Amino acid sequence: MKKILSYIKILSPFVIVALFAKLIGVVLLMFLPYTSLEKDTFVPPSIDFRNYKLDKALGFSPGKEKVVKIKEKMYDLKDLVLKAIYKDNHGGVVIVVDIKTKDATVLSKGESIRGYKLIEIYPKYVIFSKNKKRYTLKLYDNSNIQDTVIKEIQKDNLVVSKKVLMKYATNFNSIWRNISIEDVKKDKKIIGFKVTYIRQKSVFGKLGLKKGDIIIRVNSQPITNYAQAFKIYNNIKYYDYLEVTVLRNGKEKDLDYEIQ
Amino acid sequence: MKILRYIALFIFFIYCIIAFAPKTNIYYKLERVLSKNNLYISHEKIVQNLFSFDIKNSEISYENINIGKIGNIHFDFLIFSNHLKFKDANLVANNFKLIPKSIDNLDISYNVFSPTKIIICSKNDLGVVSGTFDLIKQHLSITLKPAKNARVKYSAMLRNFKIQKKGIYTYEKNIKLY
Repeated sequence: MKKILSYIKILSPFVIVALFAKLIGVVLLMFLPYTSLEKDTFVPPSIDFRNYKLDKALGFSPGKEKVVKIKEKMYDLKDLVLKAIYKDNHGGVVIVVDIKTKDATVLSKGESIRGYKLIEIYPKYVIFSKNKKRYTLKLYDNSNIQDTVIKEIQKDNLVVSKKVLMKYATNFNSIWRNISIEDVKKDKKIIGFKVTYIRQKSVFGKLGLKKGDIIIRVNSQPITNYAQAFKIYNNIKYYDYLEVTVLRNGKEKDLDYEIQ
Repeated sequence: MKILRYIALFIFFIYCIIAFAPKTNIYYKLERVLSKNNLYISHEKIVQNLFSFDIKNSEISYENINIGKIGNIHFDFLIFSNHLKFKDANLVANNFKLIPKSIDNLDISYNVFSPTKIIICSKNDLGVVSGTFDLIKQHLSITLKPAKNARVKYSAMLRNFKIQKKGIYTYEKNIKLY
């Protein structure tokens, strides 16, 4: 009995200390958040409650609604500049630049910028909607930058001037004069982009790309949609190094570039 | 004898504090602090243990740009030897002059027995890196044994290093933290 009491005497301060530490943990917990912060949580829910039909929800057959076609007035969108349009059978993507912040954003149909929702893509212009108003944005055309670009590439050590790439980033349409690509699908999923045309004297030709190459990865990131491909190009200023993986004659080949 | 008992009790108290600390919630708080600087850690899986903490498969984004993925971030709190380990980090947009694109492992450790130094060890795309950060002098010194193709891939990055004998590169810099 005496032995047990002596053990309790030795251990009791440790138990008290452990309980005190636990208490500190519990008090600390009261001042700390309980949920993780995900980037996605910042996207507001897109449920449009105005379109919610109570009669449909309760199972009542709704009467036929009269469809009234209203000829809508079009407004010009002056806050944004349309830098590029890439239209395909599935819709396509566009690149718009905010005049105030000068930030370039890649948008596909249904996506929004500053509350303007992209609803239609045409070859020379696009249509946005905001607060039930429709806005057109015409394609911005820049001067031809081709000649100055090629001179700035050093072929031997595959160093590409960041300035050159930035010039292209500000004039996306000049890309399509020199290269054209189409998606390659497997099981209805895009696995890469095939180079169907390339001007060998252009900047892309000098970079080592060839007709028939299938671009499958850029910096280890698989390219599985057009928006992703444009986003990489759009963020070119953040890269110091580019590794383009292509499928050439059925074999993977890495094309490495240093961006300075 | 009494002093020894108090020391033992104090060490036990520190271990209890670490064991009972709400590490996951502290991490959530850290996430909020980082988000104020537009740095986000997303889609991660958190594993909390008594004296360690793991953040698995996290995606890092800065100002809406995906910077990269980190397979595992592991914290070890063992008082006498503390570790912060990164495994399988792949950076997508790399704008940092001294960080390679792919990091197999990076171990930043602090040992009580050399209290003025933080030890850095890493194996990455650039090569094998070992270094120390002196907390008193606030001086970073790094030694690099470059990988085979590092001279081609990271020639811009290697320009920041000094070439020593036998192909060893060194980097020295004073970094004022406080």
